[in-house]
Amino acid sequence: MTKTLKYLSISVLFALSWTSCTQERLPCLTPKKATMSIQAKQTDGSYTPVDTALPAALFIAVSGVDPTSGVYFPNRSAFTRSLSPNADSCVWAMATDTAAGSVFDTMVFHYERQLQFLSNACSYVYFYYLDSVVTTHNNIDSIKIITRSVNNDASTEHLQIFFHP
Amino acid sequence: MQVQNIFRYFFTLSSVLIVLFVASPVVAQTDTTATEEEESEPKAKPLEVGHQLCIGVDIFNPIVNSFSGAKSSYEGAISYYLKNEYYLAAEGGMGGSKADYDDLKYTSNNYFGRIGFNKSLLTRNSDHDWDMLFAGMRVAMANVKRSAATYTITDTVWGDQTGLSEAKSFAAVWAEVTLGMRVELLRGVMAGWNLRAKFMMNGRSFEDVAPLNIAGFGQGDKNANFNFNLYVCYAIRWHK
Repeated sequence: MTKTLKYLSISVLFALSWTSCTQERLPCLTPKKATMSIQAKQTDGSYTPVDTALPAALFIAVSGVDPTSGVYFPNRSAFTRSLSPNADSCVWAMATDTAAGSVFDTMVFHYERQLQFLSNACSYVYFYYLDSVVTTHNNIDSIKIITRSVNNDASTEHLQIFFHP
Repeated sequence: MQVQNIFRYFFTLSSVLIVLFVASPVVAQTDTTATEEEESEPKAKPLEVGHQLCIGVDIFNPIVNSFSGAKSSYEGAISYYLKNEYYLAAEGGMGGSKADYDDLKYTSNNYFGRIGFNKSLLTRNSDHDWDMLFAGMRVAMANVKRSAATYTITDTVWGDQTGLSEAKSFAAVWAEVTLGMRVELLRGVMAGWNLRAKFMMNGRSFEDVAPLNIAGFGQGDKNANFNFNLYVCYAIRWHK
C-alpha cells in the first residue's frame, strides 16, 4: 500500500505541475501587421537608381480614420506603410521634405485582400496582393512594384519609389 | 479528397498496429524456442493470469477544465487483457471549447474515439498482480463542429474591421504514443495516469479557424500536443 500511495502521490504531482503550465490564451508571437516595405530611390547622372534619404518625409493616410494627421520620417530612405483592411484600395499622400514645404504626391494603391487565420492567440489578419499603384508626379517620377504579396514577412521589399533628381 | 486522405491515414495506422500485434507473438514464440534449445534448465510454471476487462473514467480533465470555463473534456477508457502482456485499449469521449476574446469569438464541440494497445513493461509478481507500467499506441478520430467565428481586426490607421467566418464541420485524425501506469488501490479498483504525445495527421483541415481545444487531442492550432489523464478504473476479472 505504501508503494501504491507513492505512485499516486507522483501522479498527483504530475497533474498539478501540468495544470500550472497550462495557459488560458497563449501570447501572439507571430507578427500580425502586414506592411509594405518601401525604398526611396533617385537616379544619379548616369541613370543608375540609388537609395536616397528623404530629408523630412511625411505620410498621411488620406482615406484613413484621421486624414489630418500623418507619420513623419526624418532623414530616411526606407519606410513601412500599411494597406486598408476595409477596402480594396487606399490612398496615401506623401511629401519628401515638409521642412522645405515640398508639395504632396498622392498614391492610390489597388489590391486584393486575403483574410488569413494565424492562430487562436493571434486571430485573423489580412494579407494583400498588390495590383497597381497610381501616383501624381510632383516629386515622384515613378513607382515600381518589386513584390506583389504583402504579408507579415517584414524582410521583403515591396515598392521602390523613384523621385525626380 | 479530404475524406479519402483521412481514411488513408486511418488505414495506414491501423495496418501498423495490426502488424505489431501479429508480429509480437511470433517473435515471442521464436525467442522461446531458441531458449529451449540452448538451455535445458527447468522453467518455472507460467502464470495463469486469466482475463481482465477494465472500465474507467478520466478525472483529471473535468477537474482542470472546471477552473477554466473555456473548454470541457470528458472521457472514458476500456482495456482488455489479450496475452503476452498486451492490452487492447479503447477510449472515447466528448467536449468542447469557447473562445471569447476581444478579437475572436466562437464555440466548438466534438466527439472522439481512440483505439490501440498497451504493452506492460513490468514483470508480474503473481497471478493476481495487475499493477503495471505500460507504453502504448493509439489512432484517434474526432468529428469537430465549430460555430460561426466573429473576428475583429484592429487597425488604428484605417479603422477596425469586424467580420464573420462561417460555421464549419471537419474530421480530425491523429496518432498517439502513450506511457502510463495503473495500480490496484482496492480489490478491482485501479488508478493511474497516462502521459500522451499526440500528432495530428490531417492538420490542413484547420487552415481556417482551428478550434481552441479538440477534446481528446488538445489545442487545435498545434500539430502536436502533450497531455495527461488520471484514470480511475474498475477491473472485472475471470478465468476460463
